[in-house]
Amino acid sequence: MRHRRSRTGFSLRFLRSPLPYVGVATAAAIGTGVAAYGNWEVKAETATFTVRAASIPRMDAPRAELPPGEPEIGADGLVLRGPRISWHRVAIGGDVPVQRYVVTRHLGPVTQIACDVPAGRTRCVDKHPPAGYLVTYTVAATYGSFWTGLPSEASRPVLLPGEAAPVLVDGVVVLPGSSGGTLMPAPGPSAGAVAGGTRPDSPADPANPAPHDSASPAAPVIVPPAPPEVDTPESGTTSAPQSPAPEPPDTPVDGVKNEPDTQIGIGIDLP
Amino acid sequence: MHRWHKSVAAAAAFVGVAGLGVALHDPATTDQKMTLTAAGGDDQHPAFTVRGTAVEDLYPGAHRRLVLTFTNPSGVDLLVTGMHARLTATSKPGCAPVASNLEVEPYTGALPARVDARDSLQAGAVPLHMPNSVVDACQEATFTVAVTADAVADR
Repeated sequence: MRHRRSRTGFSLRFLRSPLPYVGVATAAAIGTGVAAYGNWEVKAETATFTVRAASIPRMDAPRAELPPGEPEIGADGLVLRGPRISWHRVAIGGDVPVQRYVVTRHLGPVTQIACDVPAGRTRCVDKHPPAGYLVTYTVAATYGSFWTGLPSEASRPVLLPGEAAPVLVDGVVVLPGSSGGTLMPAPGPSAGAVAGGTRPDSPADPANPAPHDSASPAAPVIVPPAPPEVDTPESGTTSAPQSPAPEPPDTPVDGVKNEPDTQIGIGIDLP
Repeated sequence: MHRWHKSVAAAAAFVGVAGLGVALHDPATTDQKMTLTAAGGDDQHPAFTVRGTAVEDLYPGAHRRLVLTFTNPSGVDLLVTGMHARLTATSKPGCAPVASNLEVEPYTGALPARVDARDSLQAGAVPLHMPNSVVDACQEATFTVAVTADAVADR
């Protein structure tokens, strides 16, 4: 009993001593510190980087001029050798040549692809424009399957030789006018599809009525030759291929001059 | 001091030393997975920084390399054991962050890469390829590439 009291008394005296508390506190501090060091908190952020894509620059307005010599007009009302269109080359990022140039003919609100040539070319001839029309041209550079630059400003207007006659473009009869052409519905059931088209009795430019404003749906029309390599013309000045083209080379070269020119696409810029 | 009294104090000190030893040899601390950060750290939150070279003028068919430099501002050597990069966003709605618009290829470079304490290392690169299928809307777009890494402390 005495021995038991003695033990208890000793324990109480021990707990009143600061030494064990100092030891435990030291151990806890060391352990906590090491744990904090061992599990150092590296910021859980992901490094992000931005990379930027280039763009095809907008080209300057092309130059369009009629070829010298006597113009030839075919029996179909088309100019056999139309205006020559020329432009200045552009590059992506300053040093990567584009791959193709697409020249668009504008007959007022009607647009047609006049030329689609490899980038080695800086000019082309609009082979079969309709006679007697006032036309302008724009040019845009393309690269790869889908990249197309903004169309340039329009060229100076060119008055095509010959007597103008209505032409049928993409289901729409185009009547010649001072602005390049006015629209009227084409004969037949598809006429109603020409939303926004101008009726023959209300030409788009009343101050300059079309010379053939008496044309009726029964009037003869001129149908331009179907563009090669395109089964169904699409609206819009340009259109992307339906399937991706072959992968372009990493470093484009001007070795594509043998590619044939193509004339594709017909469109109407409706107001 | 009583002998038992001394024993308790010694035991407490041993616990402290043992805690130190366990902490130093805990695989969770030596094999800690770390995520790279583009921001600098401080003494309390050491940060492993990575920088990349500017990449511009991507166009269809173009190949580029996002060259990475690791900087270790901490006092512990690090071994970078893995690098991962992925396309996360673009700046244009019509230009989706998908591989058909920009391919982010696996990191190329020697791994593991040792980065000494308070030192830098120009490491490998993340190859980038803009395929021919890239859509027109991606012209002048900005692509965001997220990079993360696996690293261990090299003690």
